[in-house]
Amino acid sequence: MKKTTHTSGPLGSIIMYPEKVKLSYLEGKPEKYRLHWKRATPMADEDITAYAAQMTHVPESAITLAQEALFDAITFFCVNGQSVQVPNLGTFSIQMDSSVVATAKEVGADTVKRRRLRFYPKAKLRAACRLENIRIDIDDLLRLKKENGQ
Amino acid sequence: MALQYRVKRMQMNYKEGKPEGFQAQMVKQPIVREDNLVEYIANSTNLPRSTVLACTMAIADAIKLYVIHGHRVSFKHFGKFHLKVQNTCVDTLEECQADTVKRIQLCFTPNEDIKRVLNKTGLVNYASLNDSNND
Repeated sequence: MKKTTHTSGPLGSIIMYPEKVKLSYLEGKPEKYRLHWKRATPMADEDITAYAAQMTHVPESAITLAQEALFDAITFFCVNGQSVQVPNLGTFSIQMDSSVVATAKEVGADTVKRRRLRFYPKAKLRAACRLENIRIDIDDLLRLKKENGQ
Repeated sequence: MALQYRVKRMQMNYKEGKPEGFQAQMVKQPIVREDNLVEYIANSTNLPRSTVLACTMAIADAIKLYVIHGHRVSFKHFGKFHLKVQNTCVDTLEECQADTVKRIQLCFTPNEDIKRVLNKTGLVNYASLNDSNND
């Protein structure tokens, strides 16, 4: 019997439009075209809270409380040098950039240039954001509108 | 509350003669696993563990859903999650199609408050800390 496989379509979609760009770093500064991303409306805390409340049937006040506590906890643990695993999201950890010095005695807090909060998404989340799972719609009308200054 | 570092000896292969140098390297602390995080939040908020877990997972799902549809998800006191698109330039308008996109990635940018907190965090030498504990 022949096996049937189910192929799911793209999970998400983004809108892009072609735009003329000048490559100033190349000799002769040639003009080329590249796709520019039209970002959708930004989402804030309240939108996420509303979505989570709808999905879990938990009151919005409790979601807000949990959300604030989650971010406080991530900051608290990371500041202590710990990595934090968040369910369904990924891992947050601290990275330290420091300069190289000639002797071990010179190494101190002042040689540390900066600390960064890094985020490593979970494999499933990373896969969902991959190129093959996101449909790219080209909107040429946007380019024309931009060129005409509308 | 402070980050701990240790002195790491390293060879600078990119320099002539490959000289040795020394650098501060962060001492990694134990990982906070998902269960521990949920328990910590439940204790600090007095919410049931199941509620905290459901909320956390729903927040993660919301981030995923919005991000893959091109939205930027910003949290006021934390940072923003967004997609990063890498694409190539082409010579003509006709060539400028979806196949010029090389890679799409999920990124997180912490907000200024978090960056400030991180940069104000103290640093302690792991070796000196151990010495003082032994005394």
